[in-house]
This record gives sequence, C-alpha cells and structure tokens, in this order.
Amino acid sequence: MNVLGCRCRSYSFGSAICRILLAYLRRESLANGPLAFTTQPGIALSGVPATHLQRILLAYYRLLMADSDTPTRLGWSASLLQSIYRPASTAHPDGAVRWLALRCLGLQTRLPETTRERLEVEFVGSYATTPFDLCIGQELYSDPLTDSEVLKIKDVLVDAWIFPAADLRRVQAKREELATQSGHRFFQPPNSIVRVTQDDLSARVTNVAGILLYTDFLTFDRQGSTEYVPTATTTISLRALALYVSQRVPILLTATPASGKMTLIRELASRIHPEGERGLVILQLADTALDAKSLIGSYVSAAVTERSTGGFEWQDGALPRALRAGKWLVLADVDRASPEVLATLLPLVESMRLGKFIGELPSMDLGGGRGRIEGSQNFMIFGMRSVTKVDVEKPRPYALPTFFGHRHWFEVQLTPPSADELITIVERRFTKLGPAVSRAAVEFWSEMCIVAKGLVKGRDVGMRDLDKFCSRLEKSLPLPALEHPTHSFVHLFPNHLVRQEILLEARDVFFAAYEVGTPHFVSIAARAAQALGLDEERAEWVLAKRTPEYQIRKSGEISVGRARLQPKHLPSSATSSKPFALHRPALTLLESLAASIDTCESILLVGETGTGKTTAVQHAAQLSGTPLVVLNLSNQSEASDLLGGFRPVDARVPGGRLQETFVELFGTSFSRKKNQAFEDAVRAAYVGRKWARTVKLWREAGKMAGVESSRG
Amino acid sequence: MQDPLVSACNPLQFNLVGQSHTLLLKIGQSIKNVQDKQHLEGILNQPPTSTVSQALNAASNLLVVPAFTLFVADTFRPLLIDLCARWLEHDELDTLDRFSALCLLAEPYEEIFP
Repeated sequence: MNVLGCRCRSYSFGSAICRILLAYLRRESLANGPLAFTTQPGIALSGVPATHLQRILLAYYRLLMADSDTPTRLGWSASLLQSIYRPASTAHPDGAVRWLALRCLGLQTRLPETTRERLEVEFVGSYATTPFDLCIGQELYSDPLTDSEVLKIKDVLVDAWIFPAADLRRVQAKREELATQSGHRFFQPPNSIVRVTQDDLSARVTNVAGILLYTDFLTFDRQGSTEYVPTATTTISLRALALYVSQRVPILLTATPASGKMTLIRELASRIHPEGERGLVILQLADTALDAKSLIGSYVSAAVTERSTGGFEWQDGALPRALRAGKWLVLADVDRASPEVLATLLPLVESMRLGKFIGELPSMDLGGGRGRIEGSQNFMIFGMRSVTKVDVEKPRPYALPTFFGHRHWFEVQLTPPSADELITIVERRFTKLGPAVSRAAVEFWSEMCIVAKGLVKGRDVGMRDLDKFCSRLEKSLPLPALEHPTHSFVHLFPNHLVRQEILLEARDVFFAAYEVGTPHFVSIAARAAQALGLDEERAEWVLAKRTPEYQIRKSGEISVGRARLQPKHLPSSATSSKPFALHRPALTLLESLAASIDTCESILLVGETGTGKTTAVQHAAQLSGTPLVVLNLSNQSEASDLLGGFRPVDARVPGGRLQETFVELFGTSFSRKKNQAFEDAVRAAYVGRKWARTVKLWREAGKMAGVESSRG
Repeated sequence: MQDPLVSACNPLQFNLVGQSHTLLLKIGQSIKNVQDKQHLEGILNQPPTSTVSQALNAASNLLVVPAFTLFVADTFRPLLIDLCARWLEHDELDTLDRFSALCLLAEPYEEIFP
C-alpha cells in the first residue's frame, strides 16, 4: 500500500507520452521524417531559414536521446541528415544547423565518438574556437524596463557546443522536480461545480481506476466486462495493473484461488485492448507434459503440392504467434511451471524490462538460427499465481514468489476482499438472492471457513465454495419470509424445511468430502446446523437418516428429494436397463448428483472399488436421457487420449470398414449364391492384405452393377 | 466509501477551475489566440460559459506554443496525456510545432520510481 501510494504521487505517464509521440510519428505527413521536404525539387537547402531547421533538428535530437532506434524503425533516411552538412558546396550556411545534423547522424547511425569528432572538425568547425548560437526554445520573461507584470516571449540562445550537457542537466533537473512535486494543488475540493468526466476526455484516452491510458483506437463504445464488480480492493488492484500495463512490463498477479484474477485481467482487456476480451491468450503452465520447445514452435510436415515434394516447414508456436499479433498472454500457475518452460520464457520477459528504451518492442529469439522476432507494441505478458496462505495483517499478504526468473516480474498482490465487499459482490452477481440473503450467505460461509481452518488436514474453504453455495441457493430458495435486521437464516426462513434444504446444500458444498461419522464431518455439520438453527437430532436425521423421495412425473421429469433430473429427450424403451436398487444411500447419492448437475458443477466421486459409483452415474444418465461417455484413465493415459493425436495408420482399419460396406452392398445388389466365387476372391485378397487387388475387385463389382467409376 | 488515496490521485478530480486560473494569471496577457483565452476564462465564470471539452482543447492548443509548453505541462500535469492525445485528432495545426513539443516533453516526463 505504501509503495503504491508513492507511485500514485509520481503520476508516471512518461511512456504514455512516448506512445502518443510514436503514434504521431507514424502519420503520413511525417512518413519520411521531418526533413523529407528537403528532397523536394526546387528547394535549395541553403534557402531554408536557419531557425526553422534548428527547430526541426532540435526535436530530432531530443527524439534520438529518448530512443535512438525509433527513426531507423520508422524508415527515416540518415542521408537526409548527411546532405545538410556535406558536401561543403551545398551544405547549409548556419554552423549550428550543421553541427546538430552531424550530432543526429551520429546518434542514429551509432557512429563512434572519434569518427564523429573528425567529421565535426572537417565540416563544422573545431570546438571552443567557433561558437554557434543555437535557439533551444522560447520562454517568458518580464522586462524590467517596461511593465513588470506583462511577460514577453523571447528566444533562448545557447552555445551549440555546450548544448548536450545543458540539455542533459535540464532533463535531470526536471525529473527531480517532478518527483518531489506535491500534488495537492492539482486536485479540487469536493464541492466544486466544474468536474471533468470520462466523456470530456479525448476519445483515445481511457481512465482506468485513476490512471489515464492512451489507446490507439477510439474508446467511446468500450464498456467493461459484466462480471467485474468494482469495490475498494479491486479498484486498487486494477489501478496497480493499469500502471504496469502503461509501462509494458511483465506482471505477476498473486491471490487465493478463485478470487477473481482472471476477471480483473478480462476487465482491463475489454477496456483497453484493441480486440477486447478476445485479445487474451491463456496458457496453463502447471501441465507437466507441456513441452517447452513447442511453445516456440516446431517443424511439421508440409503437404505435398504440385510444387514441393513434401518436407518439413517451421510452424510458430503459441509464444511467437501471440507476440506478432499483439495479444495479451496469460500464463496460469506460472509458479508451478517446469524450469524448462520458465527458462524458455525468460528472454522474452527480460526484453520487457523496466529500463528499456521507449520505443523498444518485446522480442524473442526463435533459436536454431531462425533469427529474432519483434512483437507488436500491444503485447503484454501476465503471470498468475494461486497461493492459499494469506496473512491479512501484513502489507504483503502473500509469500514472495520463488520460481525461476521471478525477479523480472512485477507483482500485484490482490488483497482478499473484506466481508462487506463480499456481500456487495454476491449481491451483484446473484441478483435473485437479495441483500438480506446475500449477507446471511456470506456470514455462513465465513463460519465454514473458520471451522475448516481449525481442522487438521482438512479441505480449505475458499471463494469458489461461496460461488457454488450462492448459485445453488439462487436456484432453489424461495423469497425470504420477512426482511429481518439480524440477517440470519433462522429469521429469514422460519420454515425449518427450507433450512433443512439449505443444510443439505451446505453439506454438498462444504463437507461432503468427508465421510459421514468422521470427526471432521461431525464438527462442521454441528457448526452448520447451529448457524441454521436446527437442533442436533434434526440435523442428524437430515444428514444420516433421511431417505429422499423418488418420483417420476408424467412429464418425464424425475424428482429425487430436493433435486430434479430433467430428461433431454425421452429415454427409448428399447435400451435395456440394468436393475438399480434405489435404497437410501443410492437415493442420497442420486439427489446430490442431480443437484450438482443442475448447477453445472464438476463432481469427484470417491469410494472403494465396486461400491457403485459408475453405476449410479449411468443410472442418472439413463433417467435423464443423456448420452454418457466413460473414459478409463490410469497412469498410462496421455493427453492425446483425451484430445486426440497423430497415430500411425494401419490400412486394415479403414479397409475393414470398406469391406463390410462392400459385402452389404454386394449382397443387396447381386445374388450371393451365384457369385460365391467372386466374393471368396475378394475376401481372400482382403485377408491377405493385397490392397491393390481388393480395390480392383471392388471396382469391378461396381462396374458390373453399372456404377460409373469415380475417384476414391 | 471510496478510499481517499485513490480518489486523491484520480485525474478526473482535477481542479480545472483553479489551474486554469493559475495559467491565465501567468500567461494570460501573452496568449495570441483569442478563442483559446475566451474558453479558459469561460470556465472561471459562475455559471461556466464554456464546456470542459472546450477548455481542455484550449489548453491543448496552448501546449503547442513553444514558450508555453513547459508551463502548461506543469500546470495541467495529471491531464497531460489527454492534452497530447487531442493533437492526434486535429490535423490543421502546424506539424512542426507539435513535433517539437512532443519531443520536448517525451524525455523528462519518464517513469519516476522512488
């Protein structure tokens, strides 16, 4: 917070001005540089007024001092500078102009100092013997002879030889002044009438949490993302993010799991990225099978065309593609990535360091002699880190990162939201709950958190659980009976049946991971029952002895206790169903499954082998008429089993399918008995894997049937 | 319930009236463009006779004049980016003036870290 406070006071927007400068320089009027007019026919260099050229060259010099690569990158020719001071016959008469042109040339082409001095002596004059007057700007001064209040404008003249040192001193003095300047006079008392609003600002400037950011596109139609809820802590985090984004440095976002890191990045992207949220590219780095080299790219076999006989060609991986397209690369779980992946990322992260030149673009080496690529200036890299241990008392609530290369990242730590902020967020996201129920839900969740922390080797309760709890409540709860000021479930829902249902939802979300009867289960259940105002006996009956009611309605909907299974289409009676015993544990399981399916949650079933986990899910799928896909995963399973991959093709597999089709068609087109010999010949060829002969026989049969031969 | 630190550094809380007054005090007599001067003076009236946009446009035009560049940049510092961005929208002004002003501002107004 203190560090952020100091940064707030520094109003750092230097790189934003430089971005405006670069955008300005890319305009057509400056396409070949500010000196392009000297090449036009009919313009004699000596005829151009010295003051005009001095101003241009001065600006050119200052630009080169800020970033010496920009003119080269923009394609401004250095020969225009050369033509100003050489040859002596057509050079400009003013000494300061020639001197400046030579300086600029030296900076742009990176001339060694000795060469430049030699050229200076040859074309301009020697140091300390021939002073030249250089006008470096204008200033206001009060003339002591006349009226002392009216300020006049006069030119500031400086000896050209001492100009570099003077300018450097000016820049340093200015920076110091800006750093120590107090900002109070800039800001107004709260009751002022005239206010600056977002609409008054230029269309290319957006105010993100107090930081003005310049964008290349017009922003008047950009709304933030709908999921983002502004609170005090999120505004502070967004402001820190915006500050780093304006400097184009790598950002590391640290928070507890499911606390809204992605939401923040999405909000920022939707406001200032040219493509909005679509400009985000997300990579999961916690995957241990991720190949570091494939991030850079790989060789793939090129298709055989008329011109090439096939071979290998280079295909860019995720990193170069994101670099070139100017996307925002989001690396999830960057602290759990393997060292190879981190080492691959390190050069790219280093190229975005803080001390880089203003116009310098992020770049990376493709390796293997394929050269260096430069990215677009919109490119940003974000790392995300999930840490469960939070110490709210400290200024930095989370432990510092320790992964390889962490020193190059700039960290933004998301402070956990306070209870009031959580209530605001829940109210905004789950609008059907209403303020009273939202508050009750957040308080209930806080109690669950406290109990879970006290358990040995217990499962942590986090924001994701609050999310699940609220979405379940939103679906199933009726409106509260009355708006009671104490905001507890007991008073909002006097009907104990409703509170029993809430207890069951709480069990599914918070402590269904523990087996019934274990000390963990008992302690959390007791706390939950107490918060809901249900006595011990009733709670025990609900959790351990209750049998959910099983009913099949006429509409096909199946209700199991408090949950419903909606069939997508009526299950066909033709499919045989294994008998499934609907005793109490099975019904309880079905009820929990149905409730989770309703809210689209992922479910993990844990139990000994043969206890009926898969059967229960199959039964639920059958009841609801949903097709079920069963995958057996083991240690030997690979990602390609799930996603798909390249496998060597055995001709027998497609061949067998064709053979089957052929046999069917043959049987329907011709008499089988009469053509038995033909069919035997085909089968013999197929079994013996004589593909050419098999295909020939197939085609022959087709011809006999009168079908035109066709490719394929 | 905004955090005072955040609201204190919000550029939209800029004291347009006060800083326009400071600007006019120092250079008001030397401003050549009558329209710009009128817009800035208009903001000081009660009720204001010119809009915030007009005043900011006037400040942006004054930023281009070489004698005033540094002073306007200092006075309107939180909104400096906005004033510079306005130059990209208007094409009529002298290109050389804006180019010089931008290059003058680019170097000193860099990142300052404690």
